[in-house]
Amino acid sequence: MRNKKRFTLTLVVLTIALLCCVVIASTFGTIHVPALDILKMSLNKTALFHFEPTWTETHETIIFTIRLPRVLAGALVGAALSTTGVLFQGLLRNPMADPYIIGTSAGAALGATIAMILPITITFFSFGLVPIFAFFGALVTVLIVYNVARVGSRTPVISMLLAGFAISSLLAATMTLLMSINERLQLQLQQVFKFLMGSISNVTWEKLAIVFPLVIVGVLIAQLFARHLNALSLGEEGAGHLGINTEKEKLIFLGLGSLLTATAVSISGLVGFVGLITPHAMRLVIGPDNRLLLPASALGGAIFLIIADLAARTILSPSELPVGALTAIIGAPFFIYLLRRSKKEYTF
Amino acid sequence: MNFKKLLGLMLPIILLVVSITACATPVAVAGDINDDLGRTLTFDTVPEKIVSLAPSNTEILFALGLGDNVVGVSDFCNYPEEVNTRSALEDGADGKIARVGNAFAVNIEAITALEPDLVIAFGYNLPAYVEQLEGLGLTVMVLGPESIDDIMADIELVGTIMDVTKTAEELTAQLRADLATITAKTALVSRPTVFCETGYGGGIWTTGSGSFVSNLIMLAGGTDVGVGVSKNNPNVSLEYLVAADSEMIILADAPWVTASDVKARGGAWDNLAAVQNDKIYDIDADIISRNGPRVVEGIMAMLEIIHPDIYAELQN
Repeated sequence: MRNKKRFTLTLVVLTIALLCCVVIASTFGTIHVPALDILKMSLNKTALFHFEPTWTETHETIIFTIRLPRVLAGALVGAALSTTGVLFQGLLRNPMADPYIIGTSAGAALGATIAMILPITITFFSFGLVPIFAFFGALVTVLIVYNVARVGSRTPVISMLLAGFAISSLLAATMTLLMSINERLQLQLQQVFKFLMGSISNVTWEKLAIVFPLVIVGVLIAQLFARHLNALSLGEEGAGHLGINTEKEKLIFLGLGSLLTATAVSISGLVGFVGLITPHAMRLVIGPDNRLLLPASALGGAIFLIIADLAARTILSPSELPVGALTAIIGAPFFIYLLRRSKKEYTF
Repeated sequence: MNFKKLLGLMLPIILLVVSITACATPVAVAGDINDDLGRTLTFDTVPEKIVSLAPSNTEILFALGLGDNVVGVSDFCNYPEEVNTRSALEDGADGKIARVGNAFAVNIEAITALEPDLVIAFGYNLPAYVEQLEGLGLTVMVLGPESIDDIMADIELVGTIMDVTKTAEELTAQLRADLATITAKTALVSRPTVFCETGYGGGIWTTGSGSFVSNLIMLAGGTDVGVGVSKNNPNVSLEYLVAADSEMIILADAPWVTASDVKARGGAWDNLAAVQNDKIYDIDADIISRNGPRVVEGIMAMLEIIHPDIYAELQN
């Protein structure tokens, strides 16, 4: 009973914090739009109110077409990466596991690089070639890693980590080679670099319409299997004793995590740190039970990335910084503080 | 042996020595030369074989009629056409021009093999490469013109070193006259706002305040909305672009980005006046980004887009 109360309380507090972050992050940006105007134009959107506009049409475009989708994209990417972090850390029983550990980042990066070389322009539901290639690059790489790591009918965790490392290295080297021989990539080094650092700068409602359901469904499915993830963290043998088909579970978690990561990569490039550290920070605060850790990390990751992106777009405004660099600069000191403050020994 | 007889014997030898030294022409202007990094270089003779590590340097050399002295160029050098037709992967023998890498990866071995009398590096070439080349006993001059005045100064500097002072002065005088003709026309016109995109992906890229491209837009009678960002991180937010709402967008990332790509971006891009009024134009990035003797061509290309009437008038 007490546990249930704590569960509800944690999630309610985090949800309120997330909503506050969305509102605050929407009020700040390159162009100053008074908070009262934002409130009025938002209320006008509901068609229940009709305030006289004290703002320009440009301001409305900035808030509703640029800033709001971007803040929401930050929340989705943060939630997707943090959920994957919890899944992979539990599945691989490795505290250093992040969403990219089994090759997603290298696969996405190589996919994006190839897309930048191709002299064709295709737009698919407002997604360009780069995000599409990044998405499939990530998924195909995980498939390859999984099959390489397979021994008979089993896929030992250690093989998966090693295969992930080897294939990532191969893909990263291929990308470096492409960058050094392809003239077009050399001229676009800034863009390649920015993709590797991660950025949520061009998000549209059309893109969100695809990413939103994918992430929400992914996070909810992960929640359904939270109990199994707890069992898996006992080790495969232990989980087997509890009557869990570990191979099937592994495939589910791997597929779910990879899909979430690939979706995030398709709108943000490779944003680092958030998927690795949010689960740990949450564990320090609420403990290692995945039933609470999964939703709490999703909400925490969303909050964290909204704040990091707010910093990325305001610090040097009107220029933007890569959000991936700021996640670590903002997140690492906070995590170190949590680590030092916690009196108990860390339980993974 | 008397002195006259000795002189008679020596005379042909003296003449021979004098004529040989005369072949290696002494530098017209005595004294030292400062390059754009403020380093002092001394030339005893006019360099014969030159390696150029940047397109703008190559264009200066060819514009001064020194193409025959060029034995090696960077991968990015593609103008004038002669660079491409004479270029070879092998050494610079038989009037061929070798490719010796680019600003970020200089092929030290290839340069050394060419035995150049002078290497003209670029401001962006890593200092480590300059040091390494000098360590190998080569003479390296760094040219990194940032403004149009810098370009003129560098053209004249190369002219001095290569003993073609007159040609260089004629060239700069012509460029200055052309510039004056253009600016006389553009000084008092109404200035449309222009956004020049140099890249799209992981953000929107332009060139920023005080950059070369920004100056060209100004000289061509436009107002660059990119001046709001630093040229060190010319990555501009979409919010800024929407608020600035320039009348036209010039794509320096063409041909890789086209007007129809910009229109397909959706979201707030649809609200931009330039997108709605179909005022998106391609420009050849080579002529507006190389700080070299084609600067007037660059301004004319901008002028053709920003003030087509003045452009047409000047063409007649």
